[in-house]
Amino acid sequence: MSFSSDNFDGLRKLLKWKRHEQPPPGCMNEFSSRVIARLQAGETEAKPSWWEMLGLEFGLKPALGGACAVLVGGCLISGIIVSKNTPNQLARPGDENPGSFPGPGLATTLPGLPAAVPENFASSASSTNPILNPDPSLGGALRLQVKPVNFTPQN
Amino acid sequence: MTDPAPVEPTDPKAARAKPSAAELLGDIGLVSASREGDMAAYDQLVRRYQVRIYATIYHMTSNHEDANDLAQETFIKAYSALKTFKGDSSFYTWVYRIAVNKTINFLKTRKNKTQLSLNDLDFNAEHDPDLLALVSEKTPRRDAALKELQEKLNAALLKLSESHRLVVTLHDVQGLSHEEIAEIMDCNTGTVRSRLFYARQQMQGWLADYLK
Repeated sequence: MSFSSDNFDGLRKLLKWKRHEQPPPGCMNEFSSRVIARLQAGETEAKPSWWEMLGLEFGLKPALGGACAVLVGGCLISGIIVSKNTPNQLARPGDENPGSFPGPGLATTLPGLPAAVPENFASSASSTNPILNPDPSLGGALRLQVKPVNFTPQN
Repeated sequence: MTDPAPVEPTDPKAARAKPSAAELLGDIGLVSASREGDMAAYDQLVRRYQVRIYATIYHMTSNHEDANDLAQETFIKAYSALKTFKGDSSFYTWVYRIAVNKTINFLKTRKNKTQLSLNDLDFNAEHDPDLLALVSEKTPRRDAALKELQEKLNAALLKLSESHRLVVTLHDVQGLSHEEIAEIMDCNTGTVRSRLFYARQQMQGWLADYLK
């Protein structure tokens, strides 16, 4: 494909007009002095902010801004979900069973609890998974007893 | 690419005065002196290119105040980046590139908030036979016709995308070669030619009433 300029003579003549547009008189006389004065006043190019350095100028790139918002929101939600599902794994150095409470098994030493409490019961407990979580393996020891209430008036 | 001839000072008193040492230096000498903090040398560099840089930005923005601000910021940015200037291209091309990038960034943030603030036409415009031929048939009131045509022309330029407008400005208005424009825009000459072709085609359609 050729990009000949033969057909654009009229337009080129018209565009020549732009050369006749002149800045207001005196505008250019003081121009360099103003630049030098600004430089001597210590004015330099404004330092870009950290998001500008990362190329995250959201004002110029709305799609990028939206994508970043979705990404941050997704990270937050997945963080919450993961923290809910992960057992407490805080352990002291030297613990053989890092998932369990330190010392003798809590469940087996507390009075009143049945002996049938499983070994892994304590390890399944965490701040988000309370110890009183209904567990069928407890054999009904902690199960609530619900009694139906009769509201019919008695004569 | 060779350095363009320095622009004559606009102040007649300055034109008559004996040239200073800075005025006699070439661009490379002035850049070296400016790097060492010689503000007189940098002042000379600014004087050499202020008119062309201002004009390029003005033709891109069609707004005098914006052009003035952006041209000043261009030279401030250039001064703080002087240490990164390696001399692979001329200072002229390098500072042009800074101006172009600044202007394009500005235009992106200004999108849809265009306000014309046009400069006046100089005396020669009223005596240019090519231009008079375009307006004389349209209306008996030549001044009004000239003003109207100036506005139509600027409005048509603003309708172009930034990259197309830049090519038209640099080539058809400022007279730069395809090679110089390619260097400033960091693309090849084929791209410059094709952008120029499509930009002219679009403008020809918009200004058809004046080009019959």
